[in-house]
Amino acid sequence: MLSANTLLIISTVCIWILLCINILLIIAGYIYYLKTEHATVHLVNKDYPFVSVLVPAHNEAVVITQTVKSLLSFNYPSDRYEVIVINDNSSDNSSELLENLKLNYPTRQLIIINTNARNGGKGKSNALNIGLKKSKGALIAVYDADNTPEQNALLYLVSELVQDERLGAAIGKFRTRNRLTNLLTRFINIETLSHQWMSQAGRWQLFKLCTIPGTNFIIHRRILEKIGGWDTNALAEDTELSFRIYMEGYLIKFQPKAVTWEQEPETLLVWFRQRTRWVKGNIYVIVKNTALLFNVKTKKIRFDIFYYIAIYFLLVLALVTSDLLLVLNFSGYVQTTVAGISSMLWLIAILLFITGTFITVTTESDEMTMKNVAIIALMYLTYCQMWLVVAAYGLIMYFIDSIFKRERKWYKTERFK
Amino acid sequence: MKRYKSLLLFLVASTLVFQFITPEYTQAGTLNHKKVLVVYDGLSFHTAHSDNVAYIVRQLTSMGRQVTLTDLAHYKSKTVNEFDNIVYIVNTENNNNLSGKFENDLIQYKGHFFQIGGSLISKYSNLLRLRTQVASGTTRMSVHDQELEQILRGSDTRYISDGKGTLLGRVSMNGQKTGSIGILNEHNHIGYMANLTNNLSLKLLVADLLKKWLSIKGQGAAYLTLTDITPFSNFKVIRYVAKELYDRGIPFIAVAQPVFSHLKSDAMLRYLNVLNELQSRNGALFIGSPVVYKTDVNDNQLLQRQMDAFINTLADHHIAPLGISSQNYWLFDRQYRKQGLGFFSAVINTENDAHLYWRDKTETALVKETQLFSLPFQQVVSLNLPEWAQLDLPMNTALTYSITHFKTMSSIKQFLKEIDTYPITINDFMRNDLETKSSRHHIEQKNGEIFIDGAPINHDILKQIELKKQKIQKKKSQKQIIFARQNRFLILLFSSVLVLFIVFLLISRRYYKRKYLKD
Repeated sequence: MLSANTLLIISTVCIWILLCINILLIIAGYIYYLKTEHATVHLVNKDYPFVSVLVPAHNEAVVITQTVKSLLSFNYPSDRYEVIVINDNSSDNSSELLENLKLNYPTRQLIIINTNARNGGKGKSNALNIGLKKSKGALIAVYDADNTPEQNALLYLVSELVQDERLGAAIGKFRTRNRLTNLLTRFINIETLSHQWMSQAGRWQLFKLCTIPGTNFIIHRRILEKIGGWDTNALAEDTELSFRIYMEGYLIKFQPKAVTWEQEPETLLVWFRQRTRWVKGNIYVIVKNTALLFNVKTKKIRFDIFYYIAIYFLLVLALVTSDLLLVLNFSGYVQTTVAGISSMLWLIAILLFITGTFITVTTESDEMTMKNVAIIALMYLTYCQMWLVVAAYGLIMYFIDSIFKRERKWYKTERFK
Repeated sequence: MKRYKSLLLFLVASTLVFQFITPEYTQAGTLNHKKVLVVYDGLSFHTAHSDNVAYIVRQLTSMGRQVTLTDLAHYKSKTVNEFDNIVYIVNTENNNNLSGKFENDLIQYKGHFFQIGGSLISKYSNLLRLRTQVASGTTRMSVHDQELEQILRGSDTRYISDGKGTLLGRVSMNGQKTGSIGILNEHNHIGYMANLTNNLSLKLLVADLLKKWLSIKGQGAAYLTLTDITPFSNFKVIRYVAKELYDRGIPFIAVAQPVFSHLKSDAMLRYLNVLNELQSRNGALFIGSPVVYKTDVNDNQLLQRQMDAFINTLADHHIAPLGISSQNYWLFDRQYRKQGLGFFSAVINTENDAHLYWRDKTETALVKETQLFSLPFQQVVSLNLPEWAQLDLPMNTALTYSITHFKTMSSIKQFLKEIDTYPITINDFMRNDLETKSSRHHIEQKNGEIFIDGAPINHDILKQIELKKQKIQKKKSQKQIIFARQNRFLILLFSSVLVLFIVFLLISRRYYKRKYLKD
């Protein structure tokens, strides 16, 4: 049985290793940012491929009108793309709103698919598969029902995808539309920016790896059909899809100039449920693909598999273990005599977190402020600890669901006006 | 032959017959001589008598008597018949508080009686032909040839002017002997102390009287006792004092507070080293009773487990705790007796704190094989006995001195000087036969030697622990080196990255200005 000292040393080492990996990703991500600032994207200006834009929607009456209008406003030839809204078993007035929209845009290729409890209501993956069947585009783009993409978003994605044969998909950047609503949305805004500029951009720069974020991305139809569409068992269908694209030997590239704006949770409960779904979904993907760590053909994606394992298992366990040991040590139930980690080191690590995160947000307008520095500092003490709770909870719930063979329910994120 | 047979038969028969005759005296005489009933009229808080009851109870328990304590209000009829010895304490000036039940029982009572304070009950007053006087104003009372001045505030001092028995404690007024404070009639086993207040000389006198009244032979032994030794004490000071006492040939008892957590930590090891050194310097180790700060604990066996763990840890390191020092009320509490005192055969009986944390109170105190009365050494020194006099204590006494008083070298030297020069014989506690039992160890002190699980303890163990300490320190320092290096490396790495991030921020600032701030 491991002693308290050994456990503390192991968990501390794990935390330092992951911190070092993240530092590497921040540096790589920033280098990629500088590259994209100077790079010119050769936009497609002829032979526009036909794109089917899929929008899965379930009870999205609050936001769907605005979203569809944005999608219909792309700076992309209107006859070269269709918008397919899969109104998936909605009980609100989404279908009426969508029909009105169709009436208002009679010349546009706007297809509404209304599903019911029999053929729908089984989650986003199922809705997307339904949309895929109806679509005719050679390229498939996906947008969530709360998104308002910028006009050039589709054009950037298409251009990126068609000009590099290695790519199976291209992803854009998503921003938080309601980032100023409250402290939680500010936290989420910073989180999403740092994730994209650190994790996405950094992984692309180092390993040519990216993960589909679930919205604002584009993929070759032929690849989708080859891999059998979306996995209806996956709660994180985006991550799951990414791994299968890798398995086919394709890359997924991050194009930060393709921007969409989406609504993020404004309350803790909604946030907690959404993030729990993500955690459970990602763990499903990890468990499904762990064997690939030992598969020679998939050495390219080993970093991603290891990275996800490190985040969702190692880091969570290490943080929980070290926090628990700290509490038990103070209470006198265990004794740890490992006194070697200095306060100076902890302080520098915290400063690194703050500056590293701040670097990732300075890439965006209105974000390079001292207020954000303070928010990031506050995030360290609050939001990050909440994430730890979500991750631990999600981990436990995943295993409980697996042991008791519970149905994986898709929790629909609540929208706000 | 027939005659002798008849005589034998007669003797046997009369013995049998006499068994069934129950005159009260005989019945009382067959009772346990060690039981004492203490009855009091009130506690008289905030007066000069407020400490009387607690002090007398502590005295009697230190004398090995099983004390049962009750006040007049709760006195049950015929209780006196169960006891050979009754001590009646009167704290109020007017002892018309005498309960009818108690007074009636005393009329028939044939056992030994001792009263402290108030007017002696008429039955006994008549037997002693006692005459008392009351002196008003300032009275000087000389006890043990010591002058002490009792300053009266609106109350009177009772003293004995004459009586049938040995008179003790001279009272003088304005230089003239007027009477005595105490009287003892050994024939009738009646004792009376006219006055008792919170004064050491009076207390020593009443102890002397009680001892004679209880027919306890022999002189009490005094033991120097160093108290308040904790893991947070100044170990250098403790080591110094222990060495000085050892070099002077002065044995002592050391009372160390228990530790209930982190028993394997380095701090605990250092504590054990100090205790071991005290033991090696002829110190007899006692454990101080832990501080109780709440009684509503769910786990009723917690104290027992904790004490057991501590004793086991001591014994594992060849340190033999020979007894426990506890407040007097622990002897009256079933839970503390079992879970705290139950490990030991020796107890140092200390004064109760102001607040008592009862768990399971009883009227009757526990009696231990070896019980020491505790008395602060400084109080004894304050008696200012002349050098030619020798202070003999009536009961086995732990003369306590807290090591927290050793704040400066001069205070240590003053203490050592007092020990050297004060006219009192310091005894060696190692001469007592004692026993301590825990779940894993059996500790005994026999014929001046200490055994742990049958094996004598080796005083050279000090050397072994020193070597072990060095080994641990070496290991610790290796670990510290690794961590220090890791720290330095990581600090260097992270600081470099921080610098790089600052560079990135400067670059970002330029880009940001260019993209978003220019008009």
